[in-house]
Amino acid sequence: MENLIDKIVNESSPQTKKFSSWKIDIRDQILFLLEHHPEIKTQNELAKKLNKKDSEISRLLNGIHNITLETLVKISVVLGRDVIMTDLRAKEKYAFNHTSLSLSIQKDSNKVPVTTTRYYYNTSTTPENDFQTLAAKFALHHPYQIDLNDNTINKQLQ
Amino acid sequence: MSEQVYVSEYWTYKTVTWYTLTYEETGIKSLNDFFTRMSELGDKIGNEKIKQDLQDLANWMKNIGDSIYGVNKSILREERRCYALPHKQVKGLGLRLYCYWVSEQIIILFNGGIKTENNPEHCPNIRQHFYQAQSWSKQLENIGILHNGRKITNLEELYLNS
Repeated sequence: MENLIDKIVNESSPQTKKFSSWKIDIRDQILFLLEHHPEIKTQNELAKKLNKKDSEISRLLNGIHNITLETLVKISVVLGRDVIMTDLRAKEKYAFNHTSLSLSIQKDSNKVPVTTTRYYYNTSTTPENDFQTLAAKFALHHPYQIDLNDNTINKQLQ
Repeated sequence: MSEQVYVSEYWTYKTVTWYTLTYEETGIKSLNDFFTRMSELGDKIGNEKIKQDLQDLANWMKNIGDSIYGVNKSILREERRCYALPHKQVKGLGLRLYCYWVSEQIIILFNGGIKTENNPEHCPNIRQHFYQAQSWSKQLENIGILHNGRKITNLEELYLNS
């Protein structure tokens, strides 16, 4: 069966598609932040905090209204969380702060590792050189195969 | 003699299922009739606004269909017993697609046109669709719609008279 909704969408300009998609994404994000905010739960409460009328907030959250950057900033400040984030900022926040540590166990230095585990940790919250802590965590998973005092643990920071 | 229509599934997106009405005799779906007539009208009179409004409406339907929170009743235009798209904050006259709101995840789409008068009963383009939508909504209210998530579960009962 032909879906004329998708057919008309496909005939739309890239700008029309993106504009509509972003507006709904922003509306969803604001509703999500409201749902998880400890104090500001409703659109009416958000309206009060922003000194706006209920109808104005309703208009912002209908997925059609053209929301301004200034309003997005005000909402982000009031809710204490960013409503939007650029791709670069997202990478900086969620990817670049994380690094991994591989730990391998070998019977001796000339043999192939019998097991390897990689841990991911946030460099902003975990001391990079806290190898003993990470090795201890590794030991919890491999209690029979590791001896922290043994030099058979191979550390490799990536 | 009145023509029978029945509620049928049109398309299911991640969050919302759009239903429409199918004419039993011809198999024509009311939503397809609306989209086809409006597209042809836009082409015929070369009205770019009609085309753009139609594209905005279709994009909104797809994106809200895939959204996390679905269609809140408060964002639709209330038109007596039924509702209409696009959202009430789109000011002025223009496209109207009448519908019946079942839940955030289920909407039944009727038919519509281009509104040229504030009062739909005075508008020659949509008067018929407005009255028809009121009648269908009343019949749906009387029958009662059972649903589970994005799906209506008593479709076999949802036969209406035009």
